[in-house]
Amino acid sequence: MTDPADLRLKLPTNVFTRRFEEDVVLLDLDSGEYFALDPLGARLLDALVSGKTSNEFAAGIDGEFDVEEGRLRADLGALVAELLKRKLVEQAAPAL
Amino acid sequence: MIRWLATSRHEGHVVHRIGRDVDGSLVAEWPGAAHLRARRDGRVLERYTAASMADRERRRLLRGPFAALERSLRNEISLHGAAVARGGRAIVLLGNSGHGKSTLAAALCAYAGCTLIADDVVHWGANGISGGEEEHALDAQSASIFAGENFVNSEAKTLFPAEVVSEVPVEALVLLTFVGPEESPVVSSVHGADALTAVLAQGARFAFDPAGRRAELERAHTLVQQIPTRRFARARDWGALAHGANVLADALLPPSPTSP
Repeated sequence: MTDPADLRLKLPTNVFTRRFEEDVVLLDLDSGEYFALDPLGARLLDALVSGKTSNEFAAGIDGEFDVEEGRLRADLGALVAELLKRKLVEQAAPAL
Repeated sequence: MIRWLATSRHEGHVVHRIGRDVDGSLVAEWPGAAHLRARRDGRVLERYTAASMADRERRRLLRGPFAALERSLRNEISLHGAAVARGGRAIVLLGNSGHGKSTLAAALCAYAGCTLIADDVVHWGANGISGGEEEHALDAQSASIFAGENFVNSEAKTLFPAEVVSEVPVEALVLLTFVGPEESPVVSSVHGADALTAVLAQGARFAFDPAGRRAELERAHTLVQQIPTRRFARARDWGALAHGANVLADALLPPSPTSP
């Protein structure tokens, strides 16, 4: 099974986002459930919708935070898994 | 046949529910007491209150929850919360059930020179807020806190007639939380998603459809961009209510014009 941190993802059409200050709130328009992302989570979401994987994003910000890269990858991967579980992101169709 | 989409219960009994009828109309029901039926475009089809309902309760329902639901269909903001004013400015107290909104609003009026704008439903207009209720509505335990004050009828749930005003400009949205018994009351800033989701959680909603949900988020976003959000943390201690009320009012509101 592919690690969620290596998946290319996109926002489903039923998920609406609204940025406020540096955070983002994702709203599932079908269920009404919403989920808040802090500034790092918001940057991750930007990266995901621009076509990067979580691990690619983690490699790009390595050194910005006082945290070991493996830990950063794991934390971001866990967030991606949570977003997938809540159906707030979905796997993008593979490039042909 | 109504499909119920949201239900509030108390001690196992349905006290309020919202649904959609087969003809597409939206229905809000307080079983045995009242119901409101409206089209998705905001046109009200029926406002019903039981003949046995006391006039005061009927006015509260029409000005509060009914109005909030109808306003949400017109894309106007109403929040579940309490509000008080002092010196021409208001604060809106937000929190889930049991977070002491009504009790704190009563304490702000009793001890900090504020007047009540709303006890349960706050309506937003172009120039500020107005209220959905005419009076405080406290449960017996909360009412007993103020029993030593000369404005309390210990038998009644209601205290202090609300000041009937059109709209009052808002100084801040205040999220209520409790801290440990030894801690002092503190007012702090709330930013970003914490502010947005707190407002979103308290918005009146009648239409449980994607367009309605999206509009709700947009309304909450507009509000938190315009009004600062603060957190008020205080001990769950009846004895500290007066002090806490004054800390909050002095941090956010101008002095009362009648203050020395």
